[in-house]
Amino acid sequence: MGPLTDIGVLNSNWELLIALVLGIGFGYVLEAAGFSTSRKLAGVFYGYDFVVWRVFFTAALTAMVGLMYFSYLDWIDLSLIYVNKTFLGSAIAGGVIMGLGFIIGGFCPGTSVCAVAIGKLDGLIFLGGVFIGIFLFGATFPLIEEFYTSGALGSILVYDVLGISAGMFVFILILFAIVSFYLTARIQRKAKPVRY
Amino acid sequence: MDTNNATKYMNPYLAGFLLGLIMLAAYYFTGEGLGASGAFKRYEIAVLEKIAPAYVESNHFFGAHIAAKENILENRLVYMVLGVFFGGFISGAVSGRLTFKVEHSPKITKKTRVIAAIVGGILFGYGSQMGRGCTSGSGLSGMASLSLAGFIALFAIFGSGYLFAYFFRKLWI
Amino acid sequence: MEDNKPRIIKKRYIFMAALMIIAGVGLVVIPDFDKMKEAHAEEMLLQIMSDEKVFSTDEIAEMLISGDPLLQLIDVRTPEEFEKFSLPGAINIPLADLLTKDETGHYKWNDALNQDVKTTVFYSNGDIYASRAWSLCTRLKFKNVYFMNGGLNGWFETIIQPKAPAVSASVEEEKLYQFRLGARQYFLGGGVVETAAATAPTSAQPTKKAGKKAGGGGGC
Repeated sequence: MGPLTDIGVLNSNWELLIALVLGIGFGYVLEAAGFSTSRKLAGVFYGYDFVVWRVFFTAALTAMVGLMYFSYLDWIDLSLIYVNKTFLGSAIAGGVIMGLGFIIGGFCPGTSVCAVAIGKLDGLIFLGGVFIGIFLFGATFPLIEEFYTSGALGSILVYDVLGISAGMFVFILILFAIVSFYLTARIQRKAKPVRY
Repeated sequence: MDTNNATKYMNPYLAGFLLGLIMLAAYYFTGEGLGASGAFKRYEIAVLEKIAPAYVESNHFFGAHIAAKENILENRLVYMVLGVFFGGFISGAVSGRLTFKVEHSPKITKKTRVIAAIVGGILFGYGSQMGRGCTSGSGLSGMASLSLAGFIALFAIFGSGYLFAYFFRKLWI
Repeated sequence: MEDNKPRIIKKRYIFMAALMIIAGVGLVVIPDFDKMKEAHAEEMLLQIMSDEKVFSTDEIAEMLISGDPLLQLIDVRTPEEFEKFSLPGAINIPLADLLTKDETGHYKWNDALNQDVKTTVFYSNGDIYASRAWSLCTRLKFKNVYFMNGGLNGWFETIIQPKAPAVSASVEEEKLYQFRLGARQYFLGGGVVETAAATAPTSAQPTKKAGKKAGGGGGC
């Protein structure tokens, strides 16, 4: 029963090797889906290409449905998997800053690595910017430390907040995803095509 | 649409499905999802520690890892991002997309694109640390594990993207 | 004109959407499996046990200060790390060494770990390695094994650099903070502290805004 490293089946050296292999798969799929080009990524914000939305949502749904069935079959202990901690203030502010960075820079950190891998110099520059940004965050950390830890809610789950069962939440999300896939495809059809 | 473009990409739903399986495997093996920006922080600390160790130790944010006496590069995300690079390269090589270029919309100059890329990178780097993770770690993996944080990140990132899209449309369309 | 554009609804997309919906319906109708599990006695027992596998840093600090003779702290980090810093009285058994066998084929650390008198508490920098040591020992049916929740990172955060509670904090929080300040003085000063220090306020002023660990910040 998983997660294998947490229950001591695999030691930490394996964990690093597995991470490398998973990373290769991650990078391969991102690049193959076209995430190495900023103009394709930015399409989601202008309606000419919704590939980001499709890949992102399908991946999240696949993983969450998979996790729940794994749990049902007793293949994985969901109480051991890492659940991101929620800090309301910094999560929202950070997300807004990232969104702005996304629309200006055209990448996110993971996709920029893919872009660099196939020789995109704008990706390399973006990546340089990411390092500067992280440094600036460290440098300004004392000023925002208070804010950084504000609104701490711990590892809370979204369906608990909404007060419905996990299965129901995922089901609603699936319906929402299918409708959104259909609507975005219609929008994309109407939008002026962009070549890249 | 893909048919309008020179290069053929994988069907997005298939790509999403495969990515989901990879993420599922990540949870099954390591108990954690995918991620990227955490690795950048570690690369950065590793470099900073070489050039300015005193600064790193005095800094609350960077110094925390040093204080914990952990090996900063012995971390799964560090290896994962290394893998992302190789994976991207393999895919690019297979489909003949390996070229050195600055990609930009024909309506802007190379210089504009470079400036936009660096500004965007800085913002993303800053935001990813404040939000405790980027699109993949906080957003994607956060959603998959059904954490509230993941959905907040998703809404905040895409919401702000749509909000500001109008002002930067010249960069893209 | 329209023909050049691909159709939105292709057969395979309908098929995929149907599959997803079926999977989703499955999650809703396959009886609420978390609830079913809760009713399962064995699972419940596991649940109870898992809550009792950890000690908080405060509990460990209290035991150390009061000199609990039954406490056996085990540091599962590498010898180098152990050399640099360790908790008072801890024994160093690196995780990699935990299951090493001697010439006779017995576990090298069997005597220390496989007993039912002392309380064995593992700790490492975070939770991961200590919890692995814990789960390995549990599998071997060793008794009285625990790990320190939060590890040394948590130790620094709570005992060495405790955070002052908010003005609105409850009495309990204030008491806990006072205890931590006392403990801090005990561990940093290394001197003898009268047991009262554990509960009474001390002269030690809280260092202003003690540095918090960034935790999994940017753990993306």
